[in-house]
Amino acid sequence: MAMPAKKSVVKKPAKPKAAKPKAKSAAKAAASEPIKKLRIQDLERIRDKARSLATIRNSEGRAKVTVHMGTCGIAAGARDIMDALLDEMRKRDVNDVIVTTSGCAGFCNREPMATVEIKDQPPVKYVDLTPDKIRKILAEHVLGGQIVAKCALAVGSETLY
Amino acid sequence: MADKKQDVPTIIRKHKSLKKNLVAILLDIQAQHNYLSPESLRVVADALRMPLIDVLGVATFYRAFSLTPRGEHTCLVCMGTACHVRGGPKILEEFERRLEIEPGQTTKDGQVTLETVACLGCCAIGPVVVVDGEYHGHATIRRVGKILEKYYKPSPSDSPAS
Amino acid sequence: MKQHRTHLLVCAGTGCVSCGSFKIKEALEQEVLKRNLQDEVLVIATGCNGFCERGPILLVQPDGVFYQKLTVEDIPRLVEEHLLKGRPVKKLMYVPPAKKEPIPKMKDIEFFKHQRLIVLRNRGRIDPEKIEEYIGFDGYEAMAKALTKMTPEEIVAEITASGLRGRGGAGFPTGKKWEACRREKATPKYLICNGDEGDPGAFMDRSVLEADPHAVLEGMIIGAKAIGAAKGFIYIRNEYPLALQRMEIAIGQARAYGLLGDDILGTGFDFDLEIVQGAGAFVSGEESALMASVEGRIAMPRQRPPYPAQKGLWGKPTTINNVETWATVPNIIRRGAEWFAGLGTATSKGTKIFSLVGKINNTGLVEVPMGISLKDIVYGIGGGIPNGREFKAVQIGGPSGGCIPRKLLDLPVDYESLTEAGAMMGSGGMIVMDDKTCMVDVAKYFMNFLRDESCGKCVSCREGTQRMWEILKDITEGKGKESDLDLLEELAQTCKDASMCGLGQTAANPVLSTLRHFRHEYEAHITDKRCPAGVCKALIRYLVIAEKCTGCLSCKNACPTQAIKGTRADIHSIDQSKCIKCGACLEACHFDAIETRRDEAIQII
Repeated sequence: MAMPAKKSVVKKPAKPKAAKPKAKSAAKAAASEPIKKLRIQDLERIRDKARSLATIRNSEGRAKVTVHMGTCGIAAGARDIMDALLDEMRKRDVNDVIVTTSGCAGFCNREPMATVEIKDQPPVKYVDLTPDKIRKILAEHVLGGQIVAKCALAVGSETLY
Repeated sequence: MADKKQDVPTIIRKHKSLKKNLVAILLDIQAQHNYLSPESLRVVADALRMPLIDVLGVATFYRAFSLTPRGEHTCLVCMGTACHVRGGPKILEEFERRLEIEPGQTTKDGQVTLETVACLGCCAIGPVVVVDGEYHGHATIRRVGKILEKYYKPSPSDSPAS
Repeated sequence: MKQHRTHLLVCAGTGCVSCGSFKIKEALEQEVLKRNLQDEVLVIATGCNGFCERGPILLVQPDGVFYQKLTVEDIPRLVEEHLLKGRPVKKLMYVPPAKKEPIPKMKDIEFFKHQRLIVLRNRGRIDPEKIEEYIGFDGYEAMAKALTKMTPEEIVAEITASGLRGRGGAGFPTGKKWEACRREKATPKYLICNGDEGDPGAFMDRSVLEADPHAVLEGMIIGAKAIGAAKGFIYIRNEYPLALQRMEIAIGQARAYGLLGDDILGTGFDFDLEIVQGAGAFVSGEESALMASVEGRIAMPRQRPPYPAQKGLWGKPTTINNVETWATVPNIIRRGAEWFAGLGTATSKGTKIFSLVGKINNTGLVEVPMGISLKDIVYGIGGGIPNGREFKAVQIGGPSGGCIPRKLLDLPVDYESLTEAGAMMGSGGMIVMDDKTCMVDVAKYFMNFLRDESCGKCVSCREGTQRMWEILKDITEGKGKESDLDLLEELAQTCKDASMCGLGQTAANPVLSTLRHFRHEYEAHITDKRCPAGVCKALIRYLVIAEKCTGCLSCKNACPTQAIKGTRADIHSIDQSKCIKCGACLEACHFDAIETRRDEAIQII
């Protein structure tokens, strides 16, 4: 999957702390924002807020997280992993990471599994995941650039097809 | 559109009685009243303070206008180049044969008006037929009957041979 | 803006809509809800994706998977397999002609692979009815730049330096047009967007208006600042209801956001726009006729000069460009003239949108850099001719254009080369023809169109197109004379020389270019009374090929005049006295057992 250059590959973990209530209210505000005449700086603001659009529709994220959703994965709780991941991303206001699903990775007894791919780095497979672990992986590996060694199985490729 | 038909003066007022909106006014009348009656043209001419002949000129120049009542259903067959090379004329012939009318005419029972159009801009799915605004792509001679059936039930007396 | 991991982009261009894409969207939404995926998966209707042949189309992002020819019944499985289990459904993917393996990703499909999207950059990517999405993809950035950081002179200079030429037909340099209007002292000045896309077979303007209406608005606001106009008009033909509707929505949103109206973005610049709906007249695409139509009059062209830049709408300086040109402008201002001029050829810069239609496998809308060869378009992007037939010609430029034969397939597509070959860029309609297309019939088709659409002002055009049509009609009916070709050429020349507007001046092109490249077909009709392509009704008859007929009764059932005889498992035959040559049997036959014979022996009509 193409992940063309974004200027900063390793970015500071976006907006720490205070993010939680703020992100939610911001999302809500965007939906029902009263229309007002824009100024130049408002264009920037709208554009920033819509950055996740570009990430998803251009398929250009700085990282991609694949949650394995085969029958085995789902049985082992992959849905919870997905929910936790998306929840954490919303909380942290992460808008340039692609999240996708794939079928069984062929290693069913270590499910739930996920693969993290960061641009220009080999993919890393994580096994025996729990919601807390995926939150940690998002924070430390995807955003921080540090592989969470104790959850990692191996460094290897995983594609959609 | 028929349920909330506005009368001609209302339509003219909606377009601020401006001369430059003549085409828009006539389009509106056409859409709501199904054709441009001689009376409506006179009302428009008076309201815009224009000679009737100028209004009539515009009404007869553009393809969108009809001076005779159109049928309940309008059947548009695309005659664009792309539809042409893919057999559009044969589709039109089949409509002509089934309805026993030529393009621009309306069936005797006033149900269907057959029209051609230069291009509807959906050439990729040609030949294209549009009935009452509903698009039918990849038309074939055989499907003409099916398309018509949906909108048109000819009375037994004037049912064409088929 | 709420984040979803996956976006389902359903094409809602006219082509896909007529194949039922709104039903697909509804089914997707229901299924997503049923699977409780509504917080993860977003369903969006986009503008025309371009690959209209394959509609209804769905693009799944960020996976980049392209689904085509969907039906409502496919949706539950698609959602479960792809979105839940991460297993894209191969059965619903695109399989190239004569291949077996499906291609999952849009970017790997030949049709998309060779395109360079600039004007169409947002097609199939944004919801055209949401201004936020347009802004999210750098929308209105160029406008902000033009309004705050550039003088009118600088804007015009940038457009001039980019080498942009009008995309509506003649290819007049846009910068020059703007400069002429900018210099005029008279006020008020007007701006017009010509969306009266009349060329049959061309639909790029419709697509742009439907898929990215804000790009047109942004281009016009930039143009307004450049020439000093406070008021603009967008003329859209009434055959494009969806385009009209989307543009209305776009203008409403832009006004609400203060991107149109007084004091745009707080910069003190005022500009507003109005939609004018066409009423169905091909000639209104001509600029002076279009202005007459905007004024509410008959769309009849007038003599130029004075050009619209001096005396246009209501006698005031007016700049008029077509949809594609306006939509190109923001890209140039945002990315710079140099970038744009780096694309294309020496005299034709940038990209051009073509509608690739007719007898071709991958029909749809394609945007390519100028200078690409016809072969690359027809065979590379278009995937060649269906049913293994032979390429005969491609008609470019609509009724003003011409047919380019096989031997010129290597021709680079730019303004000059096309004109040289007897065609023209026009608005960019490319109609591909195979050996089953009769070139005399094509010429007759265009002449019929033009005689119908001629406004009647100039005798040469009004009568010339009529007479040329009559001659062509005679030829296709086997009544042609040896002297007809000379007469045609003479009429064509007169029509070209003596007509006032572009319609009349170019009306003869379809005849001249077919005469030039396919004279032998005319001669076959005239001398041998034979239509080599098997199209002209009077010169063909339908016959059953005995060796291929299985006696399945399909043709017999399809025949509207009971002209076909035969019983089940018996070879059928066609009674020529009853046959009306409607072609229903040919269409109905599953075994290629019906042919159109065109030997000279036929004299029966």
